[in-house]
Amino acid sequence: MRYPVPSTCVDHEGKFFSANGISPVRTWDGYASDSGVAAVPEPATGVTVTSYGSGEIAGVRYAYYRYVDADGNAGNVSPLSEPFTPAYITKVITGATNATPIVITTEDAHGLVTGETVKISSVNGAYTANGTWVVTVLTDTTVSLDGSAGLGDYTDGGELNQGVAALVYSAVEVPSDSRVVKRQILRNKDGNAQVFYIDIDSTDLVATSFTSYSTDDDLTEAVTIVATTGENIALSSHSEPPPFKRYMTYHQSRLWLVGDVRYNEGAVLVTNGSASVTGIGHTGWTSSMVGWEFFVRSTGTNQVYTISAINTTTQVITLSENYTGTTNQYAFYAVRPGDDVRRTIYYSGLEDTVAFDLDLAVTMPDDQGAGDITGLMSYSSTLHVMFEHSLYRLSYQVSPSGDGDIRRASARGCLNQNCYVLVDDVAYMLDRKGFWAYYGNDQEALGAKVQPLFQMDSDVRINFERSEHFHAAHDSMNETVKWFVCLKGLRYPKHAVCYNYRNKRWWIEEYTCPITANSLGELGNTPQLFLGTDGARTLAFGHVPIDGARRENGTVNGTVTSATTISITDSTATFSSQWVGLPLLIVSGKGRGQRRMISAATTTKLSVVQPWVIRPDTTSVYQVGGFQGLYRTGWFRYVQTGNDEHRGLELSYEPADTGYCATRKYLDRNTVAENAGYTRSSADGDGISTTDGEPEFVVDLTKSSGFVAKYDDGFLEYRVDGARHMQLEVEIVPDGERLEVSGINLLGLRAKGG
Amino acid sequence: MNRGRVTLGEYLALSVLCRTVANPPLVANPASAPNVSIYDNDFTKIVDAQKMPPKDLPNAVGLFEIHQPIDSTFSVGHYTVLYRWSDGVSTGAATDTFEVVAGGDAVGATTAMKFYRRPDSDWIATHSDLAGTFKFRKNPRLRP
Repeated sequence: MRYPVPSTCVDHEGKFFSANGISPVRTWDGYASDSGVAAVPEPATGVTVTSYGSGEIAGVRYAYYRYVDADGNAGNVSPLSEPFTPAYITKVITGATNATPIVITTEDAHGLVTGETVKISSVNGAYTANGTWVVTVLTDTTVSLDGSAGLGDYTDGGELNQGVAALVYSAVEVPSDSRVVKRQILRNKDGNAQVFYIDIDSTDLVATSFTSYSTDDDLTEAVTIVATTGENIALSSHSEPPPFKRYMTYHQSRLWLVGDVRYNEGAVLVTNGSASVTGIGHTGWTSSMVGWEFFVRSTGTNQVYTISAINTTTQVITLSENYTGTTNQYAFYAVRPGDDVRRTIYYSGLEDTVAFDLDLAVTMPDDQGAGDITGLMSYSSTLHVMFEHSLYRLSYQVSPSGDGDIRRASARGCLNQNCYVLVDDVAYMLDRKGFWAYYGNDQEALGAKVQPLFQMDSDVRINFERSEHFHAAHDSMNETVKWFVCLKGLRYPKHAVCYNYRNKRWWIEEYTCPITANSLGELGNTPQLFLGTDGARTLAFGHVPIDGARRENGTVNGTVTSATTISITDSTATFSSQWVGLPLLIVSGKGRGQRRMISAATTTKLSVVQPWVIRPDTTSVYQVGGFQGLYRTGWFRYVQTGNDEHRGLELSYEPADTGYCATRKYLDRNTVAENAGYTRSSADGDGISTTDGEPEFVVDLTKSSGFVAKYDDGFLEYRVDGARHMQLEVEIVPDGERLEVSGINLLGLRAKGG
Repeated sequence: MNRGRVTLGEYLALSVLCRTVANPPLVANPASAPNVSIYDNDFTKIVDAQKMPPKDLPNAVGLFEIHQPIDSTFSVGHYTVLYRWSDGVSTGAATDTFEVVAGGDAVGATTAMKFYRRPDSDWIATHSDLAGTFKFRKNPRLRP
């Protein structure tokens, strides 16, 4: 199945969280053997309370119980038990004196012994008799209540219950969830049903019954069940994070969750009059989708159904009612959470990131033009909620749902939570309209020069069908933001639209492999941008000039001695089996520019995954793990002053033992580079070699000066049809060490129109 | 036809254009979604009668396509794909082949990652599209 791209964050305790909208939120503390589902489940049924023996425990009792995980996080409590009045002996009261102490008369022999505890209730008139007391026996039917004082004459009513020695909690559920490491039973004290106390705290996960001999005085660890507002907070404030929200962030000591998944993988078989829907293809429905809405694109229906059950093994959905549309053997469909929760923002307790109160949530305004929620951004002291076409600001003082204020901050949006980068106080974002910068109280559209990427009639445009996989990275060393996007219908991004925010320059980079994710971290105590790609590989951006291959382990470059349609052979090479899975680039000669993945390696032969379009020959130079760097200037106008003008090129670079660097010249909008026109060795060309018939001016990287120049003859031209515009292309392929071209000086040119 | 060469972790688009068994055969939607089965080089069934969703109804009549993840079910070798469908009267069939070559990883591409710092170690958490869970790699360093 295809999993939605998840979002991640880290809380104040350093816990790692991830959410994907179709599975429970997961967490990891960096020490456990693996991540687990965040928070703790709650028991479904209440506990039953009974008593044992005679003793001091008297008065009406209630009990909850709850599960606790290894980190000490407690889940919601169970439903409340039925009220239980402990009574070893129960007697009807017929009289109570208005004296100190009060003397109680029972209807028949009470059977008590001096020093035992009783609960007196429902006495009218002599109201101060009601309560829990230690008694002194006077006769078979009378007792005095130690410490009592009469304040009224008895009229009628009254019941005497002798306290019990122990409370017995039974019907306690055995947890099936591996997160649970212990169970706690909470009970109230006599006369108070607001605050409960931990009575049982047991790691026994098997027993269904527990006995407590603790008196009220023994109970010390209080748990507030009912808030001062009267709300029962323990029933809901420790709920698990909602699994149907996919974007999360950590902001002001809370975990926040928004956005949902519109899931439509595969197709469905729907039958008129049946509630069963069968998945076709890799539907991958999860149990978290129960309760979601189900839509089907079929004739005869536009009804929305609710999913009541999912068999995740057979991939069969059961709807809450029979399907009323036309039977369809293979219909397109979609499932998504209900409209009531789609605009809802959930947040955790303060500094309690695994405890969610699902009744306390913020609902975003019904802004039809904003589109779907696409993410969250913690910006300054406020939380920003990103939509496809809008940006909202949420601020609050105490409680987000209580005094939260939501205002629209911009009419621009963001594609997803990974498509923005914060640089100082500026958020650089990408939406369907283009790139833009958000300054908090102001905004600015960016990138007029790359706007054709967003236009439908453009040859090269962004494929928004795959926007889920777009992401932005901040290359802080080069003061550049890179948006990795899919062009031309590619599944994963292989191109980055780059913006240098210092120089306000734009360019597009193409990568040899898909760049599917990124994260800024550290490598050797220096900032490092990590990139994710295919084959579960992680790349260190800008750190290594070749992809995965090290010269110490085998030959990484050379000249081909023979080739087939799916291999090359270098009889002088000692290739490593580690080269399998790495890219192989034909750097120069026949077949130049072709790149293939290596599928097998012997000592002298490398096989590739896809056949060569142009089969290399003995002129071909190859590079294992080669990254090809291409830079092309804009068009420049040749200077025509009427005087002799030198035209030429000067190139400065860092000398290198190996690697490849060449330039090509394009004239007057021609898409084919100009032929060098002559053959010359590096020695004859002062560091630049050429081959007649080929366009490359190959630079001798070993030249210790790090400088080459190629000057054309003195030039004086008045003819109209001479070359008027020129564009230069520089190509580099490093070989195991950093290759840097530091300067390009073009002579005899001026900027177009300038 | 040959669907080409893929590595582990890639998606392979398998598509079939369903036709009637009449003479001449006509492109038509089948009575139910066609099945696709995949056999390895020993003709052991790797994927058993997986139903295929339509590619683009109603614009592309009879065309069904499934993006088969080349996950841990597969290994290096040659595979044969068998499509079967019914027009309600007779059964149609078609075959394809493809090859899984070395390279890649069965968990697929990394679709999310996070550098995660703890007091005693650094981690890179990576989420892959086929595994669906995060994998944590300790103290990132350049591969020797």
